Amino acid sequence: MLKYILQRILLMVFVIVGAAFLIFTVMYFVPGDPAQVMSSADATPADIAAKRAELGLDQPYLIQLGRFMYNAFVKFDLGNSWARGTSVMSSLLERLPRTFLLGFLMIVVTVVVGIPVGIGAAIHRGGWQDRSLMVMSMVFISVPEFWLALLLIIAFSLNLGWLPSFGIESWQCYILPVISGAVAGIANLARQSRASVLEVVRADYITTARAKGMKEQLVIYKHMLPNALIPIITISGSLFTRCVGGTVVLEKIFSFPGVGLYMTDSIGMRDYPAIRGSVVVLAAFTALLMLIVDLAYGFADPQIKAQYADSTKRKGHGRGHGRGHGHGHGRGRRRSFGGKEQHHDAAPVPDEERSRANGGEEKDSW
Amino acid sequence: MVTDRKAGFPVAAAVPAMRQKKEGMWKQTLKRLSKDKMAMLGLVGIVVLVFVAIVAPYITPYSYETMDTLNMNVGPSWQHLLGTDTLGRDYLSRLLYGSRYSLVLGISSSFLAVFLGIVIGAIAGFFGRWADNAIMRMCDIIQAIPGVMIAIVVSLMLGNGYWVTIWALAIGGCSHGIRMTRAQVMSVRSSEYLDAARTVNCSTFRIIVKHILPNAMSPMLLDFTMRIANMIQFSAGLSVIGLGVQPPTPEWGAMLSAGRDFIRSSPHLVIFPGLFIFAISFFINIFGDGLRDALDPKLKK
Repeated sequence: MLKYILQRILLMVFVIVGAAFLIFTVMYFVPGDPAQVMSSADATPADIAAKRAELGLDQPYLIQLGRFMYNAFVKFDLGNSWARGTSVMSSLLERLPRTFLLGFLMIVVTVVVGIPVGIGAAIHRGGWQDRSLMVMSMVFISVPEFWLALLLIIAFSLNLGWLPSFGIESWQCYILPVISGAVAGIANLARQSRASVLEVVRADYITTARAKGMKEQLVIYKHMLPNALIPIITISGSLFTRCVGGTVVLEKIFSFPGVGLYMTDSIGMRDYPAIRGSVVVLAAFTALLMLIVDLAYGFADPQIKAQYADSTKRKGHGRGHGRGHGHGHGRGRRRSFGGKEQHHDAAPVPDEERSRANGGEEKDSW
Repeated sequence: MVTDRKAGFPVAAAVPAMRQKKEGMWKQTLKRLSKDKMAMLGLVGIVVLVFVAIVAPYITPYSYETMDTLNMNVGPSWQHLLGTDTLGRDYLSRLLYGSRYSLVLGISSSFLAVFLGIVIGAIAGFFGRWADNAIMRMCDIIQAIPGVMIAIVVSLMLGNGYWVTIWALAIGGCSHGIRMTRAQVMSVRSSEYLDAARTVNCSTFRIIVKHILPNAMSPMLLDFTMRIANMIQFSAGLSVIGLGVQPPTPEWGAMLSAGRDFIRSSPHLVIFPGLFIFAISFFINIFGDGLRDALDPKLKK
């Protein structure tokens, strides 16, 4: 297990460094001379050249890149904002907890509401509850989140005056952003959970459990849910990325002083260090969430556990089916922590494949 | 992922005699699809919106640029069914015209994303080794950055504007397609019919286009369909944060973001464009949902 965790952490570091590299490179090739934009209209070419030298823009690409990477990852310094003159890192560190809280609340609401709703729909499959929930989820998936946010503002802030439409002064300020950010995720997760539970319901080991005379509650909690959990974790990963992306737009709409608003404000001012810094920080935030999802896999999926417990079986034979691992999974989850008990019969799947390529049917992870 | 080789493969190079024995996969899919009421509702909705986009100049009551200076920024009335915007332009006309811009944007960016995904994914999957490694690590990184931000960075690089936004959205959204194509290619790479194709000296290009891609068609088609709605929404999101398509283009997202400043005095400027975006997304989503079940009946129980 430790090896798996270490490997995931390494991957996360690689992704963050890679993201920083990618963003620096793309922004380096943004046309237009920032020095000219920042200089006053009557600046002479010499003034502009001096400005370029001051910003370090006259250096070759590799030196600029090296300096940026060194500063960002060794000194944890993302440079100074051109427009504000303050350190990008300190502004971001001040704002990150707010964005983090916003994203965290969205994710919690999504998971806490979405999964039970999906399971409930699956249990009442075909009934009116199921059908109405599924139609409703389709509606909510299709609602653009910024539009929903604006509708909520019109209804609850402008007309009813119940909730504030901007700021972070009180806890009420979080209600509208969290609702508008979570609704699509809830609907998505509910659909996925429902599909995932329905897939498990028909498995042979459920029939066996029932045939043994097991109580229905126990069947659900010990056999259905643990097995249904894995595809649910898969989609949660893409939902989390979506949440982080969503906060950028929502922060703009709610004037929420987080990292996203810092970035969108900087876009208007062509403030490259600030844009670069916020994208890198948000990418790191996303990578951290993905790490958590990957670790959740490690604990929920005995295939991964087995793969890392038994080093001779490292390489899998292509993509097996990632679902329905057979009977006994529920118990195996707890007992096989040391990797001694292996209930699976499917070939171990190379984990980097499964965690991301699995989602052929999920909504895109924007 | 559908790897229905028996039914999927012969579509491209079907022998007529074979078709009589067994219906092609696409025919079966259409048959299943036509029985799905929700999917048909979605299809009707999409067709209506596309039709509106095509005949927009003939059915709009006003031109989308005509300003009615006596009625600026008014709510819905009989004269202007959905009101007018801040310059006195008829909002309904603008929205109907906007369907042209929004639909073309959604369809072309989605198509480009899938196309990029196919090309890059096929290269990764077919050639393997370092090309595969480089492309896949790149995808790892791109997937860690929320797509909105990739689109932001790309539009910073390319500037604002209609076609630039389409490219930005396509680049931001192609990593999913890359992974899908690659997985598909990997899964058939060692199959016997590819050995056979190689034996008769097929070129690599021909193998990819004629033998590998037809197998990957159905997930691609699904991805393409579902993505159109996403792309329209993302472009609207980009407009909201000051990038992407900008006014005066009568694109729904641009109109919505322009109306945001007047949300207090005239909420109809925000409500109606969003309603159109919602409608097209809803129709596409229910159609896509039905399409998925029709393409892969195993999933539907």
